Amino acid sequence: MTDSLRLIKHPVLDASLENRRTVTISVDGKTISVFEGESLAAALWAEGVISLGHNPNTGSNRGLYCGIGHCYECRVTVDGVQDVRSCLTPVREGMRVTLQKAEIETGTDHGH
Amino acid sequence: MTQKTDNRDRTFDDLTICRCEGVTRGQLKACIHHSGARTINQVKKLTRAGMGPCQGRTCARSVEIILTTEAKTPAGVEPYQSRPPVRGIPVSTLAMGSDQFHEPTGPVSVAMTRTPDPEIPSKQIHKIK
Amino acid sequence: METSDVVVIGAGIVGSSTAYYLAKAGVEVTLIDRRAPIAGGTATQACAGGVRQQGREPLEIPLAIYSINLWTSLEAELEADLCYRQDGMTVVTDDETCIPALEQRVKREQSLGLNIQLVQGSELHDLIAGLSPHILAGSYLSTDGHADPLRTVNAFVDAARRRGARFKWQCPAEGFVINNDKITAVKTRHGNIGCRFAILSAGFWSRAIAASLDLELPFQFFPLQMMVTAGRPPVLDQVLGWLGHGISLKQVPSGGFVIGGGWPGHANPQNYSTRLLPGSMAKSAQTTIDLFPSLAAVPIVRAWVGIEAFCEDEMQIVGPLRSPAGLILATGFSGHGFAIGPGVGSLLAEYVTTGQLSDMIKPFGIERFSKRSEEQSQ
Repeated sequence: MTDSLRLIKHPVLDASLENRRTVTISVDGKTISVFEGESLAAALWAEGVISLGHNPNTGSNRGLYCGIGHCYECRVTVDGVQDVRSCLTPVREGMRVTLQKAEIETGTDHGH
Repeated sequence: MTQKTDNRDRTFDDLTICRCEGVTRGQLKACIHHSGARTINQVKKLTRAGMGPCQGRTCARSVEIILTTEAKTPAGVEPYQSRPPVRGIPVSTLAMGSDQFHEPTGPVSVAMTRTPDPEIPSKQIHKIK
Repeated sequence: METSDVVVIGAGIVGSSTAYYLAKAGVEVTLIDRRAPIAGGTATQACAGGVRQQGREPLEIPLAIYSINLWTSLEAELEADLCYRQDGMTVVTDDETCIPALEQRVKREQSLGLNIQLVQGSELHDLIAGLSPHILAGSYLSTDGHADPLRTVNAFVDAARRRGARFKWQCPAEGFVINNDKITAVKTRHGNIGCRFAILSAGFWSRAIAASLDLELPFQFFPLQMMVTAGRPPVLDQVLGWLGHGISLKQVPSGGFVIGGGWPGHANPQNYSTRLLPGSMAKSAQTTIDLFPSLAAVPIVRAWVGIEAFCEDEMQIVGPLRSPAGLILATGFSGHGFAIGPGVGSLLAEYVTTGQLSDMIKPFGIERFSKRSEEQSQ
């Protein structure tokens, strides 16, 4: 775990890791340990997974942005279900996460 | 340290306004000036701004402002046509309990989907009265 | 008084295409609309975007073939991206007892010049991946396809403007000025426009305008509901229809699946307000999964309703009236005007400039209704 990217001290919320259980999830086939109670977006960010996919129209990286379920930039595939907002999804033991690959393919005309 | 950028000569036409669909300020201006779009809904339909996953939640206000400044018309005249559903609903979720709805009993019968031979039974088709 | 050689009433697909072809022919034309192009709630809005020749009344097929031919070079002609794709359409069935009738339609359409084929079993499933396994056969026409109705109307209007057409938006037509049984002007809320020809292409709203002449247009309105999904990588090239079921399914270039099929919604033609019918969404969704199962997990992001005008015989009313002279009807396209819009516009421009009405248009005159009621009362 990469503690340096994880918020572990907060003036109001109890962010300490002392009594937090760990949870194992897989991200694109790679198993990682995260903390129970984290949102998937926060857990991925803490583990250094900042880019969660690509904008299908521009190809640019996308990732956590609004953090409140409004913008859909943080969408990932969870257990086969696409377009899940990782900022609103608590991590769960055994969760399988797939990051969407660049969706620009020949034959789709995004030139507008 | 970050370098300070001099913005004086920038036109900002390359600025992304609709992040979901990748529509830039320049593309919105072109739509307004070349296609004569004067309402936010026309702009949406012609550029796809507001049609992406967040359904205009992020860009609608920015598009309105660009419309007002470029078209010199009050953009708020016609409100942004937000369409149901509020959030994406999987097709399978929408389909749940479909047989429990009393109306409609079926689609409006149209020539193309009507079975060609009147002797052959059609399922649940409304004939136009 | 303002004048224009031709006034076209209604800026939907038919009106905008007619205005363009007239302007292209050098005719002075003014296109007017109660609101503005692609304003919403109209047939253009309800349009699923199919551009097809198959599955039409036989009388319409020559017009459809002519129009699709225009479609293939339309983007170049209008200098616009219409998202037009000509990747084929197949109307399928999962019911063995329907196959002979489907075959009959295929044969009939072949004799009318369409290169349509009946495709069955594994050949069909190889042709269209993702079809539900219980689908048995389909009528496949490779030259059918789809396009974006909103961009198409906008492109016709833009191209017409470049060729000198004039426009009046927020300008409802209210009637006509007639002298010696001939149209001399269109009455609008903002004054009269003197003209030689008036073309009435205002969809369902043509009815009220025609009523000012005591002319009854025998159609009713149906508010039809559409849905579109979030974008996905391309898996479907063709347009799909399903015999006996309410669905038209296509995947558009931006990745979403557009789902139609004639499911009713609610609408008020007076104020264009629309409301969805949840039962239609549910049943349309179920039909979608029954046809193309992989869409089960894809989210619907938008649903909407548009008002279509259906004639009692489901064919459009197109053609010049004998009385009053100068009035040309082009309306009531009964849910299938998009594909033939360019063709109708082109042939009406031809009529205005040459006085010759194409044989492809002649079957759709309003006279067919009085002929029919004469026959019935005999």
